[in-house]
Amino acid sequence: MSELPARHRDVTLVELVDRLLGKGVVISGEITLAVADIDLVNVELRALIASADAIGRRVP
Amino acid sequence: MIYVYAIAEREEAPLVASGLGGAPVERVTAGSLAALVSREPVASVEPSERALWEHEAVVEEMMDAGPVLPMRFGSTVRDEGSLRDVLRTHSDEFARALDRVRGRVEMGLRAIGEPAGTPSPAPAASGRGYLLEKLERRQAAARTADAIDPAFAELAVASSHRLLPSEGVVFTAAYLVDRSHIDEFERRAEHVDVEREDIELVPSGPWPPYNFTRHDDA
Repeated sequence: MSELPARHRDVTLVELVDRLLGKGVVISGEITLAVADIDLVNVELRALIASADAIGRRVP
Repeated sequence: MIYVYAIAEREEAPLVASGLGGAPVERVTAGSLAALVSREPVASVEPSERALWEHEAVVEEMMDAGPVLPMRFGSTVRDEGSLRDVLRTHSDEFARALDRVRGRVEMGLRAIGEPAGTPSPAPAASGRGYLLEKLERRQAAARTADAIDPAFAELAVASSHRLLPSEGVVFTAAYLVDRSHIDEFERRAEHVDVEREDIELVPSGPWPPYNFTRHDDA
């Protein structure tokens, strides 16, 4: 399948969000996750997932 | 409030110039460990694309200097004393986890497409039909992941997988590999991407070991 550098950039952003918001060290009780406006997170995730879907649709 | 980017070994923790919003980055040490932090005047951090990359840039700079355990985005602690307590309380598990990621990086795979042999998701007639369809999709995704995994697992000391993490994605996977295997990992991903007609396989990385922050992670 064809190489699309733009596709890789989009995927990199999705991978970044997956890791920073879903993985990494969490220590409950002692270290607080102070992320502003959870709705914003969801909005961004939806946008990113939509862009991942768009990437998927380029598959012939 | 103190924002924490990552935990490293005291000797290996580099000096990093700037972090979130250009804030200066400092080291807080306890025993053989160090955390890289910024003193964050606001109560919470917005997860904008820019902020995510700023967090990531600090962690990547640390990763170039030595083993690192990245914190989840938005990790904050009340004050320096509390952070030192955390470092002391968890020093053994952090030390073991740092040992395991030494000289290694995380590589990602994302398989984009639909599970082989299954139709695109459509409203099912009954609840039972829906569950069966869901099960079939999951089994098909597992077969695809099982077929692709061995070529990458043999390059890795640990791995983790997620089946059908979002629409249009068959699976995602993360592998903890020696730095010397990065090129080979990418070559194999390209090979599989060309071979398989049902999915696009997109590699990513090298990443800090976000999926491997505990010494006993698979």
